[in-house]
Amino acid sequence: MRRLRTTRKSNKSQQPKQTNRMVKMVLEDNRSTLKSIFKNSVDIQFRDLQLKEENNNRAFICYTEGMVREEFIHDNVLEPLLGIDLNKEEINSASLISYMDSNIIKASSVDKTSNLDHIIEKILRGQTAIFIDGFDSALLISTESYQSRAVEEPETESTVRGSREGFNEVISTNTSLLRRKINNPHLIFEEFIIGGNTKTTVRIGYIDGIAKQEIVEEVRNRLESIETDVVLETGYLEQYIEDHPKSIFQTIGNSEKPDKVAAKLLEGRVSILCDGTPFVLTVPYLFIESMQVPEDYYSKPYFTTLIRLIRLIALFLTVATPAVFVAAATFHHEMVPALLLTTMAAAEERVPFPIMLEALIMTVIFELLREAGVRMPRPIGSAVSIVGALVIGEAAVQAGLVGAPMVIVVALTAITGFVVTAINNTVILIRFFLILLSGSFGFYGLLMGTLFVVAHACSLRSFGTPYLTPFAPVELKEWRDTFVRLSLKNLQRKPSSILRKKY
Amino acid sequence: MKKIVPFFMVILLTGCWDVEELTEIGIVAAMAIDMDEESGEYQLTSEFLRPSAESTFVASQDEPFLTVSVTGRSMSELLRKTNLKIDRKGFYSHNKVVIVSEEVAREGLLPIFETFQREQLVRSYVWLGVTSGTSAASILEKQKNSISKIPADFLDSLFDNAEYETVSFNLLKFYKHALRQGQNPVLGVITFDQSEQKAEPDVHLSGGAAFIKDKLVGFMNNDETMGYNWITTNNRNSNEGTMTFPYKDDKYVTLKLVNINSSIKPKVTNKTDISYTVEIKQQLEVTERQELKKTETRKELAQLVVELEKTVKKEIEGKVEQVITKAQEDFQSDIFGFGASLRNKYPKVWNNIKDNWSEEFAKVPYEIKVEVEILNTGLLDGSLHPHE
Repeated sequence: MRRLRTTRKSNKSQQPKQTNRMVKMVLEDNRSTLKSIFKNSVDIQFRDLQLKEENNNRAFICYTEGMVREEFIHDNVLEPLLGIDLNKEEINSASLISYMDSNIIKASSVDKTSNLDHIIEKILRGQTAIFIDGFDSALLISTESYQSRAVEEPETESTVRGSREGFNEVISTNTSLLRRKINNPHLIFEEFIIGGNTKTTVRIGYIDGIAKQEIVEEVRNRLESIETDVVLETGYLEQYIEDHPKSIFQTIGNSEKPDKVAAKLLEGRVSILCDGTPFVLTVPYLFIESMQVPEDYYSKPYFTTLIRLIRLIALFLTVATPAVFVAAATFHHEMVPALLLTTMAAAEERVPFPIMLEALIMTVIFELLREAGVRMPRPIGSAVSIVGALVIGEAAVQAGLVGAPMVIVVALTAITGFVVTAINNTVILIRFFLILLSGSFGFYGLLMGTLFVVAHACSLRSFGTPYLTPFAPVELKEWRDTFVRLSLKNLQRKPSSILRKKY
Repeated sequence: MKKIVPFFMVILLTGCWDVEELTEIGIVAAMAIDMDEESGEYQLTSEFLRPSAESTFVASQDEPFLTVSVTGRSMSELLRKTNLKIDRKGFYSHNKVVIVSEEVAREGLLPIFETFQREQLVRSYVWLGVTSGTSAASILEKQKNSISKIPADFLDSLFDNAEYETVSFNLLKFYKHALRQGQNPVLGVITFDQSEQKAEPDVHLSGGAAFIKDKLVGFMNNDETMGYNWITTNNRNSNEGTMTFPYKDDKYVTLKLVNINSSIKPKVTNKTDISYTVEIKQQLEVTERQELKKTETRKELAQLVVELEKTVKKEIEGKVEQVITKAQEDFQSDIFGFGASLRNKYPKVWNNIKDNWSEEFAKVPYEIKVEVEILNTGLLDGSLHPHE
């Protein structure tokens, strides 16, 4: 990846200036031009034809192997072309190509063009080009078909109740999934091609009339201003278009679930789909969204309210537990109940390290295990967790590397971390930051660090909307869907924070 | 530069200088202060916890605590000497109990507690107790009748569970009373209670030690301490205790004290004649009646209640009078706050006599008004009795 990025500029200068190459009258010219452009790449197929008409015109078709339906080409292009005696028809050679277009080729979409670069691009996307001797234009037939994964349940966001379908890697499938959820002509998709080398299809979706025009316009502008050769995933786009690339908070949301993205579209957000990835971006993205899941709206409000509060508690626990423990155990012994302090001291008795170092060791070990568990092939994954449980839970304490309370603290941190997976990356960074601060300055450092992080989060904006809305600025009406969730009747309303004209 | 300077100020001006790992501190759970007879110096015995013995992992066989004794002239010297004698730095925030011996208490306590406040070493919520007939250090030994392995926890519970026969004063309350005009503190007394059946004596919290300012002047027995608690409603527990009275044919009735309200009302006539009315309102519940007899009629039950109320009233009056007499005659110490109530109501009168209040107090006339109310007799209208 890195190599690609660093060589981007030099690459660009090496590329020959793309003038609009045109289709030539002489068939052989076209053929050799194409061959030289494709450098005889084996997956580009050429098939020569001899047409049965007065001039015995030769022709060839060109397509990319694996990107086309070969039977379709055979049945609907080759068969008619070779089978029909064109002499019998009342056509002259001048209108041959238009005749083929309208009468012979049986395909849903046939395009006549003389721009060779356009043709090359389309061939690489799975269309089939027909060149005929004596014509300075060619026909492009849509024969695209490529392997794609079925619509499956997304593994990153699993729900107990609710839709099980997830986006897959094909952008047209993804837009159709959204279209099926929102059967409304005002759902608009606009297409962009981004990436000098990858020429990735990117679509933005929004509901005309609900989404704020400024935001749509902003998304368009930011996408258009991306200068890159490579777009492989929405993560690439995200980093190019986000408001605060240097912040640890992410101000652009992503989801694999069509129902979630549809809900966000209906709230006036804009979604960005990218070919080749099941992750769809939504903007603007606010902090509170990372505390919400679609299931919240599928179950009754009471439980949702409880579980949202628990998620918020989990967030604070996962961020601050090790830091609080470190601060209390190194600076503020008087704040710990006497009995607990004794047992804590007892556990630390055989441990040679300062508590801050212990906390760092354990959190790093946990992150290692987590990373290993994610990267390992699934059959080995369970082995990782078993080893991890033994290493962290038992051996580390017996070996005198860490005290037992630290194991509990890290376990609590880990469990609560799994509750707030949506902002896990941010949480891990803040956690380390706070451990270092509270290990050096006690609760004073913890407080300063928290203030710093909160102040920073307050300063963020996502496509014009303050990141901490509705807490900062305070939007009391919006709180109906934050810690609590009121009944759906009470939520029949678009969030004003996104639709609001100006802050 | 503008950003770097404040950043380094934050780092250099605050932070790690007071970092103490758990393995560096020695948690002190109790302190006992004695007077060394030969040198006349203070002797401080600190009870350090030994965490390794409390470990759930590999608990060592040692006692979970150890005591360190040092002698010296001032408290901060003693604390410093203690640190020299043990391999951990004394950590006093979790100290639960401070026991002083009778001799030390007679000398005055405020000078030795001063460093606690000045250095914020010991919390004000630490229990204070005076020993009688034994040294303070011996109280910190392991007691046979203690479930807790650590004597400090045992003593802590003693003070926590204290009922109406004794008092439990913490350091803060002691300060308040000792420094306040017109009221003197009373501390709980810890004694060894040697019973015949047991080889080892039991440690026992009972009665009170009356002070003038911060100096001990004398001890009160259980009855007198009860009287003291009635006047000051001193007891901090909701469980105030019970009273047992003989009632017909060697059978007893036990009443539970529920709510006590009392007030000391000063009255000034002719500008200098001060007299007091002590009003006590005691509510009780019948918790036990040993007599195996059913109360036949409502009237009989009412009669019983009235009779009991009379008995209780007499009992309370007797004890209250006893303690006031003792305070006036023996101690000449206003432990009840008579002076404080006078100061509140008649500040001018108080200002005239505050300098020789202890003499005034010793001869001030008073009147005791006791109201007793038995709230209920429980769910039984008689006592548990078999059918004939």
